[in-house]
Amino acid sequence: MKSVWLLAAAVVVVVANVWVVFTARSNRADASGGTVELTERELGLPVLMGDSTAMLLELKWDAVSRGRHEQRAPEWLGAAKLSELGFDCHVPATSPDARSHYSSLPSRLVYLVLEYDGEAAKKASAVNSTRTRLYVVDAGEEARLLRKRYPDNQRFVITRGVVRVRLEERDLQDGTPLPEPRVGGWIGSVVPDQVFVPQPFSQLLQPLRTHDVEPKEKPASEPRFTALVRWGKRYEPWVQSVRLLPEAEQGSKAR
Amino acid sequence: MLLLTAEQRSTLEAHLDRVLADLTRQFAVDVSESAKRISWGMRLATLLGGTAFGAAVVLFLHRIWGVLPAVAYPLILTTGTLVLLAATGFAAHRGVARYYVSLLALAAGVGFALDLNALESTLNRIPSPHSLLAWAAMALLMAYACGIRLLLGAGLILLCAYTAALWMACTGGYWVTFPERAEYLIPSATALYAVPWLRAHREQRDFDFVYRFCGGALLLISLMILSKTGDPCCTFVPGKALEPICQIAGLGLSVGVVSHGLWLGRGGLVNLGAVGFVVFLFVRLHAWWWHWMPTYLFFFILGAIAFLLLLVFKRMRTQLSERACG
Repeated sequence: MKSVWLLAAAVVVVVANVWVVFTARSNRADASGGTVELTERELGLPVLMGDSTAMLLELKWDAVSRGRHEQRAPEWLGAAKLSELGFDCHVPATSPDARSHYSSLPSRLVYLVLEYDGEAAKKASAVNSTRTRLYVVDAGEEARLLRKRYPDNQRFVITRGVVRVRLEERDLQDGTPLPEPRVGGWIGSVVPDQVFVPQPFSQLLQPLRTHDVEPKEKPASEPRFTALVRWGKRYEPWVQSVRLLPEAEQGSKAR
Repeated sequence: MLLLTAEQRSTLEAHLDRVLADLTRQFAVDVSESAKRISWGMRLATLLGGTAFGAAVVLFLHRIWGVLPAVAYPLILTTGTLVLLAATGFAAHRGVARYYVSLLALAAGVGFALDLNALESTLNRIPSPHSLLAWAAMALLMAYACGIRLLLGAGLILLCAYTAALWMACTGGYWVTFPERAEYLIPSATALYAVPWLRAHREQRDFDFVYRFCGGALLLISLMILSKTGDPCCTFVPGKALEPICQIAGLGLSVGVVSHGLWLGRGGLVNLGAVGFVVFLFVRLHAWWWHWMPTYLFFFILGAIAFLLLLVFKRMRTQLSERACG
């Protein structure tokens, strides 16, 4: 057995862990990605599994879609915006090669702009009883340019997300065939889409967790907590603080 | 011809028994059927016990994770992996049986993968393809330290995945979706297959086989995925022609791997090539005949081809045995 190989393996372990911690600390050097106080509507509590105390809040977001039945396919994510994001949209949608071309394009990791409690949320709540007030309103390849366009970092958050492209041959509103196909995009996910809650804040939220999975069509109820979430230099989030709202505070005192 | 007296025979047998006992003690070799069965029982008990112990540690960490201060996370995760590494080194140094050293090494590898995953999740990091490189480096270093083929295979596959993920990221795609671009695996898989030609492993001769097996398997899997997804990766190849081209290339490559395996006397390579050949052949026949041939005739011909392949594999097995004896 060669001990020099094992020593090198130990060095790899230490260097990898130090690197992860170092990049996380450098991310938190400033909150250029944005700072927003989100509520339980935007941060889903994890289901209680066994006696795990690890607290990862799920980021709940949406986008005002083109069609009622289509999720996260905004009107502004058309061929022009997709080309700006780096997708190869040179093949006309009416070309016989269009279907195979657009289905072969891989998804891209881009910068997304999330608006909190703005026009997009008001427009969406008028259409359906969605709970979250965090909506994707724009995307781009350069975060710096997006921040110039949306300077209010208390209302607009810049984060990373995955965008995909497809050839649409049916109307997203009612499913009827389109007169001619068009190229459209949809937002697959926000990355990361979970935020870890450290001590001592996780202990505040622990009594609010249950074993029940939240149904998708759960009627809107009042949020029980808020969390101040910041996005840093690398557009990775962290929880700065957590506050129980009055109704939840009374409930936990009674217990 | 040497004729021994009864006394000489008994002295020789006693000496050989002593040598056998010394070798058994030194190398933990089983010389009787009952000893072999007991050893298998010990290995099973160790595997189950180790898995249960690992599960207990993970569940305990889940239990206390939320109440630990932030500074504890990287300390606990790094220390845990280093302890397993140290245990592997200590066990190997003390001459513990290879099986137990392998288990410790595997536990250290799995521990490191969980370590980075948990730390990135706790610090809310965006997933990075460089984690694949760290895991590959760890697996390869431990494989060469302890001579473990499974870790070498895992490390080589992770390395190929890393090159494909990096290529995907450099072309603007999201690296996590690199399996959608099977062609990104082909260059690294080819390089893996070629490594033993460039530098043979004199001390660990089985490692050459692992390089070839991993390279060959990744090449065949990539061609199969390409043939089914039909991505026009090369713009000069029309989309519809890509499927048959990949399948025929897969057939040719499978035959090549079988021939190479026979030439080297490596049954593992022969089996890999044989499985690849059968799968590609059936997929191609399905594409050619399924839509127009009567179903009963299709399955009859498949059965006849399977019988022919059986005769071919029987002949290959005879050749391999002759090569092993010769």
